[in-house]
Amino acid sequence: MSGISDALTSSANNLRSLNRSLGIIQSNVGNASTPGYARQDVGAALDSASAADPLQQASSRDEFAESAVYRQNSKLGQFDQLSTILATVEPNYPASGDTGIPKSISDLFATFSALSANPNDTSARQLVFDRARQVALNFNSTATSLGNALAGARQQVSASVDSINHLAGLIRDFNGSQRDSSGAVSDPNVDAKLHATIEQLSEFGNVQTLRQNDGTLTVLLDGQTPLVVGTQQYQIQVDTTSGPTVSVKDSNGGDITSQVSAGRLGGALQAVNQLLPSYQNGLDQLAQGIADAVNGALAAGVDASRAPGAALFTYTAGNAAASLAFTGITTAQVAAAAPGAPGGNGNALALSALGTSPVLNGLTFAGFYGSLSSQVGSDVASAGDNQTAQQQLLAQARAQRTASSGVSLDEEAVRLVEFQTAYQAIAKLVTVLDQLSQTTIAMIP
Amino acid sequence: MTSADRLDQAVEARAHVARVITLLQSPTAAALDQSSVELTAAIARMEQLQGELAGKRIACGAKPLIAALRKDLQRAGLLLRHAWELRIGRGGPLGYSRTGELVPQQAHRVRLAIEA
Repeated sequence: MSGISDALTSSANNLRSLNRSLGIIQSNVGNASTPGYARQDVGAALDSASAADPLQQASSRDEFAESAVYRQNSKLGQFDQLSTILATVEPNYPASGDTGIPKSISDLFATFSALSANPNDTSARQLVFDRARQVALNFNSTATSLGNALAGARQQVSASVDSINHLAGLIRDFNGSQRDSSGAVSDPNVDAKLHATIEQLSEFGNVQTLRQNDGTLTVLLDGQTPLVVGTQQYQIQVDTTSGPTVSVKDSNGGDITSQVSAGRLGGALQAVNQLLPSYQNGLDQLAQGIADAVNGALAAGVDASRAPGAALFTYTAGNAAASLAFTGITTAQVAAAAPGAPGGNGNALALSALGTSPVLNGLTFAGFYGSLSSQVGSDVASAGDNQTAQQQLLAQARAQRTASSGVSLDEEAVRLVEFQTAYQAIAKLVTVLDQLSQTTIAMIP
Repeated sequence: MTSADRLDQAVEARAHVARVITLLQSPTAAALDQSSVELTAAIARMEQLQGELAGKRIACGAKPLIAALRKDLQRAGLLLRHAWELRIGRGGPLGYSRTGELVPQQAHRVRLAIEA
């Protein structure tokens, strides 16, 4: 009897095993295109009877490949965010002298030159006022656009923090499901949702994950700030009240702004706290430099009534570009003459010469504007280039993740040797082509 | 070789490099082999172009194209390095320097106060 009983038991075990195996295959096929899903493997052969559980289910997920995807996604989020913000700023810094601030500066000093030819001509003086108004308007308009870009970027910081907190909340819930599920094996469907959510989260911040013994994932922002530990979520917050910069704080109120290195949050913080304020400072410096130089030169001359010249521009210190304005003086108050030669053009010539003098940090006004414009252009180009490179690196990391599941160590070792040989060959070819193209460029005048 | 031919050579060379970038986004052994073929073809084009220009000092519209090719080549090199890092699994996190170069970053230290 025992022989028959053993045979029946064995058959029953095999059927149970086969049923479970089919279930795993069905799950793999059904979830082939589910975001975040990793293929589940059968741990032993169907006929194995020695192990207590011959069909131990195992995930083929490669955590190294996963973290590579998160890292690249996080960098892409950063440059995508930065490109989006800077794209709204760049049109305000035209590189050519035919429009915007550079044209109005050039026009203003051209009218001083015209004034020197006809120092007592009312229409020439009126033209100076028109051009001064235009300079002020252009600075005001650019400062307003920069202010709008800054406000938009600050909103992006808040939106990124909201997204991080929302997604961290979902991960906390998934962790709860993982902890509740019975047995040592994670539910592959919950695991898939969990990893898809972490990938979404990585777009907003540089996140790292640590697998705990109970199957839950601890999620850290930039390796230091816990977002989720088990079923506990730690929300981060934005602080916009601490001056012109924006800071991000952890759940204890500690400032973590300097730790945030990537993701949309990192890109927005870089724009809000570094790039846009530096553009604003440069613009303010230029507006103040022009106003001070022109007002100073006018004060050194005399007007029609031989009184010292009145100021042409007014502004508020610390906010020069946005507040720059024409003072509203009359044509008679324009100091075209030098003090020693009333009615002459001595001061108009000095005003005209300001346009080509290196009066601002060793640069002319046009030169200073050019350096501002090229800085913005360079930042935009750099963000765009890095964005493109990151798209390709992310595609590569995703392809690697797809390819890495369930590869045997022997196969991987063989591939590694093949890969190393090919890698060295290509690296050499890249170097040769680089040198060749460099030489070719040098040959073309 | 006419001016248009020289331009074609540069366009073709750049197209080879562009295909290398696409191939390296899925860096299998076969893709790497094909990348070698594409790069060899690009080198042949560039050698022809160089041979044509040698000692002539003639203006050539291909100059901006070759400059763009060099930029693409930098990206191909970047993808290649990254593919290797991914393959050997030893590469730590990479980040961009202030000049936009991809460089290895130091791993962050995990705060000890975390309660597991």
